[in-house]
Amino acid sequence: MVFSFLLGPTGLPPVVALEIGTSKTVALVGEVREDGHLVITGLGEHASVGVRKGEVVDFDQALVCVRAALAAAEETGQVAIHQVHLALSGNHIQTLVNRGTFPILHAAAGITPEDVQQVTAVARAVNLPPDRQVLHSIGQTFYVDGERVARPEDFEGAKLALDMLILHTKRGQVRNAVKLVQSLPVEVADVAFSGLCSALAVLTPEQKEGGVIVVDMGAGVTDYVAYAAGMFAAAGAIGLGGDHLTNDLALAFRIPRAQAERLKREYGCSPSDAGHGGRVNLPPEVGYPARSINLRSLHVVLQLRLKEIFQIVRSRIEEAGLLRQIGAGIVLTGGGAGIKGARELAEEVFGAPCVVGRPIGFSGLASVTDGPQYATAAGLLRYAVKTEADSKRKTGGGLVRRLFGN
Amino acid sequence: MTSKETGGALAPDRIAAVGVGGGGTHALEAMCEAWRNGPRVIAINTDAKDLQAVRVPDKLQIGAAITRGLGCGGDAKTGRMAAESSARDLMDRLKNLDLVFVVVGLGGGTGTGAAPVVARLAHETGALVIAIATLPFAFEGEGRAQVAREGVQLLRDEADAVILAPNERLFKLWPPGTPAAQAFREADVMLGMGVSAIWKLLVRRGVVHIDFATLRSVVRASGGTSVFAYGEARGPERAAQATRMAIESPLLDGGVVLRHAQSLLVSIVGGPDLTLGEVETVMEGVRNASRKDAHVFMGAALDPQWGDTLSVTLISSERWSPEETAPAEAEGPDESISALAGRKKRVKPTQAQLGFEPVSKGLFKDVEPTYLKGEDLDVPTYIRHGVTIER
Repeated sequence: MVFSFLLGPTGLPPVVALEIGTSKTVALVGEVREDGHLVITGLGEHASVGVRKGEVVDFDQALVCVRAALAAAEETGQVAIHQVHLALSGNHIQTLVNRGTFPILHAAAGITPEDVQQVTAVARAVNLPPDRQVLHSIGQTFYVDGERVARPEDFEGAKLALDMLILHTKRGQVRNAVKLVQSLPVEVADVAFSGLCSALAVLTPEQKEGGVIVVDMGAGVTDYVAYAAGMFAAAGAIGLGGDHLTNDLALAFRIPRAQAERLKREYGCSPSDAGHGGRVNLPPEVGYPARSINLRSLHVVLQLRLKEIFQIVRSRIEEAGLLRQIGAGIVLTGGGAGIKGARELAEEVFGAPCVVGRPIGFSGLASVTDGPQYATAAGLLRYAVKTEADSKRKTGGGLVRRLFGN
Repeated sequence: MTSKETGGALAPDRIAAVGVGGGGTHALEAMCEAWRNGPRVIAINTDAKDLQAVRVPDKLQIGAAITRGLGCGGDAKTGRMAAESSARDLMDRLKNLDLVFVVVGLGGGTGTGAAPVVARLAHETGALVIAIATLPFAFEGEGRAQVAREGVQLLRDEADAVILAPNERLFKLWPPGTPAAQAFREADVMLGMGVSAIWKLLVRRGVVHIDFATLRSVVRASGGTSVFAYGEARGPERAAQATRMAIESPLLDGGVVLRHAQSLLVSIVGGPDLTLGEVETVMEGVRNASRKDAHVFMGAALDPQWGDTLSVTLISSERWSPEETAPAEAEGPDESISALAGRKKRVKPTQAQLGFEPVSKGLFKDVEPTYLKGEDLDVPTYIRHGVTIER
């Protein structure tokens, strides 16, 4: 084959993940090894402009950033990018649980895979306002005659029901992001919720089984995803993030935002080094004289904000009735995970152990596999590979069935 | 942009006005009658009988298989399906265009359902899309109003710009005994006026030219929706008269909208005898009626066929949002809400109503706020919690 050099080791073309974040735009190129391992071969990164709280507000400026990130990814990954998977987040992400029911007419014969397909279709069909669009529909629990079951095919009954978690967002938001990428022009193969992607990147099956909350704190948006008993249980996004920490600092001490950003990264809100009366000296900047600020006040401002964000996540998880099912604790990821003291603060708020989540099960560029800030993009690669494999399997199966009757 | 290729103005044969549904087609019919040599006009409807009666050369019946040549019965879903099923025919009519006006009376089935599809298809063929829509009269009922609101949302997703004409505001033009049929007719005429005014603005090579980018920036300002007003007059006092007619137009709520608008666009069209003094008169009139810090864009065009008439078109941004999505704004110092309240109570709006920013939001002052339980979370936590920070 002439073009075989374009394909990865398994004969699959490389997949590309694109995350247009509030602070940075990341493009990752990944290839699947024979053993299913994902190798990250390319990384393109560019500071985002024209994105606020995870949503594109300035099309032209964002376009420049996306183009630069993709070009860098093409260069490092030695590929030509024609198609990407796109991660989405923002304040508009919402969830609902939709129960679909389907009557089993041939009760004695047991529940067939066709019945399961039917109930899945019913549970998927939700009536959303016209400006909303479904991003993901994830099956949670099957019920046969009201009894919770893991695999409905093993049972007999008159009524099959399925709870489907529907993640939906503003239609315009999806369209804007897709339009942006298409104008490059690059095709968008699929869009995915960035919180879900992060969870795919950083969680082990054991953690999902034990019950876990992934909190992905970006610059503009904090995504959260909860698993309980191996099942995708809840998800959401809050339009608060690292930028709010920076902004609070800038306003509290009347310092330029760039300086506030530096202070946030350097000192964080770690209570351990909050020595009494300790002060930080700030060099002069244009329009701002040199001065010093109280280190403890700095910690207090950041702590208040971080705590609040964690508390909102906690209350959402509590409302979903899941707080007691979180055995494996909290996984903190995204750029916010790098803030000193954030992990300890999360432990305090949730009353559960908290670790910083890094992409696992990936190899290749070390900077990616080490950094929590790449969790979303890495997870999106995994999502892309998974959905592509699923759709292949589905069409393949259909074809075989059609060819050989049955 | 296209305007550059044609030396400042868009090529007239690459522009079309598409009327969708009963309201839209009748508005275009009214426009064609009032004024020849306008843009290409295409009438689209599901109702074959209604479409036949419309005196527009280019007609397209959609969704014949779905509605059997009847209307949609007020069901926007049917309207959408009708348009989707005739997508290929629509694409044929819409290709090779640079600019498409989608003219629609929102609230009905065909218009509300099909117009967003038409806008999308036009967009896909590469054209810029301006949607001009009427909102139903209050007497048409809450059901239609709800359908119309959803239609606006969908149109805003699909079109590059959306300009609204709330019919209800036209009521003040007429005496109380006006027959309903005449009210609808006049609303259609007003919509047609709007289309032709914007068309002229973009097509006529102006003395002071305005391109689509400017129009779009006005229409997009504050993420809201825009309204327009039109005035024309002849004779020695024509500049002042036309300006007054536009400013006091009921579509601008008798000037209330203008006083709150953050940006507006003024288009002056006159015959070859248009003088600079007249342009000055118009601009001064508009500036006196608008906010001090408003961004005012101006365009002036000459049309030899215009004779001694002078027309003034105002396009003004108006913050508009569906009630259900803006619970928090209702309490805030929202200009449009206070403007509406001002209309009902007939209180003279003053600068004081603009309110002031009580607490600082820094970086987030211009973005959509993150609200939770009525609390604006963009405001620093230490401020909301009342924690004093020792600097």
